Amino acid sequence: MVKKDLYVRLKEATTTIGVLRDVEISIDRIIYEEFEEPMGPTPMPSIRDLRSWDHILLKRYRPFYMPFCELCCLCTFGKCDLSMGKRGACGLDMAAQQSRIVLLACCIGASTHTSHAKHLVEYLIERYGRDSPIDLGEGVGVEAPITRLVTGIRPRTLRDLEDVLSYVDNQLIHLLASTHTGQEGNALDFESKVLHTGMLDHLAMEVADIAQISVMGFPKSDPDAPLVDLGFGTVDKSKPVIMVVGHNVPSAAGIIDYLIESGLLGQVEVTGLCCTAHDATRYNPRAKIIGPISWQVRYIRSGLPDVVVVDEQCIKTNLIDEARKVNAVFIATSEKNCQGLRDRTEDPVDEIVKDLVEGREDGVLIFDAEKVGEVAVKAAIALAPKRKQYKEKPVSREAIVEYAKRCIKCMECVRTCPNNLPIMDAMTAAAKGDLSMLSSLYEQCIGCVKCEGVCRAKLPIHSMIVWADDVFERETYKIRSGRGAIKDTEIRAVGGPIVFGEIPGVIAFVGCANYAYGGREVYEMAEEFAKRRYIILASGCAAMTLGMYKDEEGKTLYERFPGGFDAGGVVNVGSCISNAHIAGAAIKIANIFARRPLRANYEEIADYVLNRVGAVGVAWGAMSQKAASIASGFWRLGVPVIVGPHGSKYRRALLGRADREEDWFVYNARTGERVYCGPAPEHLFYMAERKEEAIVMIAKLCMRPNDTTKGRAIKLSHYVDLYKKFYNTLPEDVHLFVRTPADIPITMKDEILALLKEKGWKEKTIPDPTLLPRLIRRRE
Amino acid sequence: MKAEVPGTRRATIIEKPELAAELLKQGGRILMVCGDGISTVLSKRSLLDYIVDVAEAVDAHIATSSTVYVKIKSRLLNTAWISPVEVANKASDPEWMGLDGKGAYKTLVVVGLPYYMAWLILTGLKNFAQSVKTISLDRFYQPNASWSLRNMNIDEWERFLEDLVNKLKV
Repeated sequence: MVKKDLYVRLKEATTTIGVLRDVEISIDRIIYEEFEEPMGPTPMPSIRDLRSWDHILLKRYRPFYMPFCELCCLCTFGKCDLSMGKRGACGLDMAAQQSRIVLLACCIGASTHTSHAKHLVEYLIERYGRDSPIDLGEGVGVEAPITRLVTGIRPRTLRDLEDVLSYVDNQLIHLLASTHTGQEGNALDFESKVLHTGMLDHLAMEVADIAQISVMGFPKSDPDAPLVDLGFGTVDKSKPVIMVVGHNVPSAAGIIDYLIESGLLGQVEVTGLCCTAHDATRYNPRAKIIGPISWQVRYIRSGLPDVVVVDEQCIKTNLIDEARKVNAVFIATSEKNCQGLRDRTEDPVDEIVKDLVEGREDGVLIFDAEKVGEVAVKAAIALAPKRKQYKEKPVSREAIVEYAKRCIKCMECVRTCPNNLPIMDAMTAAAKGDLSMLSSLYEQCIGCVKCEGVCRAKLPIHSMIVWADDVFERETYKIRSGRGAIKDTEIRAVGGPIVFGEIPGVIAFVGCANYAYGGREVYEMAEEFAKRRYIILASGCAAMTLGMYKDEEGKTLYERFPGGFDAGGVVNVGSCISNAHIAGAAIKIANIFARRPLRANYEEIADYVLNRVGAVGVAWGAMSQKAASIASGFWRLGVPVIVGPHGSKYRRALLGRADREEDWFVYNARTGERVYCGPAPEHLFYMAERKEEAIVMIAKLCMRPNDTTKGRAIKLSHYVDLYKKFYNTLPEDVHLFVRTPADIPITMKDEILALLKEKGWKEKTIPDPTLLPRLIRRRE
Repeated sequence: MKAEVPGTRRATIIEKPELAAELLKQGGRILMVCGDGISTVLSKRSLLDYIVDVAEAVDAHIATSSTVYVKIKSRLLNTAWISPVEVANKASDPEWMGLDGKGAYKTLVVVGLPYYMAWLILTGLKNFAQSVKTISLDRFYQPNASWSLRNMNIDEWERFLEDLVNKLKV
C-alpha cells in the first residue's frame, strides 16, 4: 500500500529551463514494507470489514438497554420522547438511540486517546527525531501487536506511528458521522460501530505508549520496574511542591528535566495524580504519585502544592478555583484545556514567573513543555516560603465540630452523593464531638464534591470528611512503576498454561476510581486472585488503588507479589494508554504461542482469544468515556469486562443467555461439527452489584471452550470454592461447565456428581473451537 | 440521582400498605429482585425478614446475588442466585419462562439495590418489558417503576413494611 505524501499541481511554472504548463508532481511513500509475515485479510479495516464478526458476537451477547434518559434532544425536531415504544422524529427507536449514545461516548473516548497519541508523537518526533526507533526492550520482538493486527504495519520508527494515527483519524470521522440525525437506524449496527471504535481506541493507545516507552527512557517491559512512592504521606512538606494532574506527560517531563539540568532534583517535590503521575514515575522514579484522580481536590486543599500544572483528561474543570483558595498558582498546558487563561507561551520565563509569584496572574497557559518545566520550578521555589500558612491542615477537628453544628439537616448532600453516603447522620454525630462517622465516610468518598454544591449551609463537607481523621496524611505506599509491554519470552512461558487453563486466568484491574463501596474492594479482589495464582494486571487509577492497602506486615500487593507476567504476578502496565499492552498480551498469546498469523488478521485472532484465552477485565470504578471505549476494544477482541454498580450508568449490558442452548454452539475446527460448548464466557459486559458477585463472576468468565480437562478442573475448583466462600453452597450452574467427568475437580467429585445427576447432565465433546466456518480444517 | 424523571411517564405513588398489598395479590406470578441492601437491619427486624414474609404470602420467587442468598433460600425455596441486571434482561424476553420454567412473570418487585442501579433496571424494564408491571418497595421514590413508595425515613418505611405483611397475611 502506498500513501500520498506530497502532491503538487501547477498550471504554469516559470523555470530556468523554460515555462512549464500543467505540471503534476506526486511523491508517494510506501508504508507497507515487506516482511516475512504475509498480509492478512483485513489491513486497516473499515466499518464494514469486521461487521460480520461483530454480529456474531452481538447475536450471542445481546444488548440490554437501561436508558439513562428517555428523551433525545440532539436536534431541533426534539425533544423526542422515545419511551414505551415511541420513535423520534428521525425514526429512531429507544434501542437505537441508546446504542447511538454509547457510540458517541466511545467516539469521545477514542478521540481523546487519539488526540493524546497525536500530540505525543508530534512532540516526541520534534524532540527525538522522526527516525527514532521503536524499542520496547529486550525480549519484545512483537513490538506493536495491535498495530500489526489491525493495520498490518510493523512500525520501525516514530514516523511510522503517524501513518497508524492517520488511519485511526479517518475511521473516527466516519464513526462520529454515523451518529448524525438520519444516519444509522439499527441498534446492532450502532453496536458494531461501537466495537470498531473500541478497536481503534486500542490502536491509538498502543501508539501513544510505545512512542513514549521507546524514547523517553520508561521501563521497557521490565518485571522488576522500580517501586515508587504512592500517597500523600510520602511528600516532603518542607520542600517546594509541584502538582501535575492529567494524562499527557510532556509537561511533567519538562519539570523533571529542568530540575535535573539545574541540579535541583530531589529539592523540589514532583507529585502527581492519575496517569500523568504514572508516566512521570516511569520517566523518573523520584516523582511521586498522590493517588487516583478522585484525590485531586483533597490534595490541592491540603495546601501543599505550590504550583498546579494540568494537562488533559479527567481533571476537575474548576481546579483553578481550588488553587486560588490556597494561593497556589495554576499552569494549563493543553489546547484541550485552556481554562480561559492568557497564552504566555511566547513570553520570557522570568516575566511569567514574576507575574505568578507577585500575584498579577493566578494562572497561565503555556504550550511549550520545556517552558512549563522552568516556570513551574522557579515559581514553586519562590512561592514555597510564602505559602507556609496554607500548608497547615485546612480544617482542624475543632473547626469540623463547629461546622457540623451549622448543618440544617436538609439531606440534600445525601441525595446528591453518588454513593448516598450518610453525611447528614455523620454531621449530627460530629456536632456532638464524635468525628468517627465522618471519618468512616473517607473510604467511600469519591471526591466529586457535589455535596458542597448543594449544601445550603455552605459547609466544606469534603474537607470535613477528609480531615476528620488523619487517614489522608498517613497514606504512604509503594507501587511498581508502569512496566509497559509484556515480553514475548514471558508469553512463550505462560501461553500454553493460559490457553489450556492450567493458569486459571488473566485478570486486568483497570479504569477509573468511581467505586461504590471504596477502593478496598478492588484490592481484595486482586489479592484473592493473586493468591490463587491467576495473573493480575493493572493500569491507571485501578493500579494505584491496588497499591493503597497494606497487609498485616505493612506491605502492598506490589511488594508481596512479583511483577512478572506469570501465575501469581501483579503487573502494573502503567497509565490508561498502557491498557493496550493488556490487549497486546492476549494477541501475542494467539501469535507467539499458537502461531496464528497476526498481520491484518483481526477476526481470526479475536476468535482465538474469545474461545481460548481466559482473560477478564474488571473496571470496578469505570466512570469516563475513555473507559467505555477501552472496554469496547476488549469486547471486540473477545475479552469480557465486569464493571461495578456505577457502571450500570453506561446504560447497556452485553449479556449471554446460558438458558438459550442454541447460542452456545461452536464449530469443531478439526471436524466441522457444530458442538455445544457451554456458556463460556457467559457475558461480555456485566455489571456486578457487590464484590462477592464480581469475584465469582470473574472466576466463571475465565472459562473457555478450549480448556483441557485439567484446565477446566482447575478453573472449576476456583469457581466453586469462591462461590462457597461467599454463598456457602454449590453454584447451581456447575453442570453447564462440566463437559466430561475429568473436568470435575477431584476434591469436589461427590457433590458435583450429585448435582450433575439432578440436572440430567450428559457428557459433551471438547471441541477445537471456532466461530468462523472458514477456519474449519476438515469437514465431515 | 434525585428521582430525576428521564421521560414523560412516571411511577404512581403507593401511599398506603393496603394498596401495595392489593397490587401484590393481583400481581400474578411475581419475582422479587433483591439487592445486597436486603441484609439491612431495621429497628425490629431485618429487611430480609419483611421481604421473605411478603414473598411467602404471595408465593413470589426471589432473585438475588446478595451474600444472604442462602439465608433467603433456607426460608424460601423459590430463590435463585442471579444478578439483578441479568434478571431484568431475561424479563424483557417475552419467551422467558421464569426461574422455574413455568411461565413469565407479570410483576417484578425491586428492593435493596443501590438507588441508581434500581433506577436503571426499572427504566430498562419500563421500555423493553412493557407487559411486566414493576413495584419498588424501597424507601425512595423510583420514577421508572409502575408503582413506587414515596420518600420516607427508615421508621416510616419499617411501619409500612410491617403493615404490608400484616395485610397480606389476612
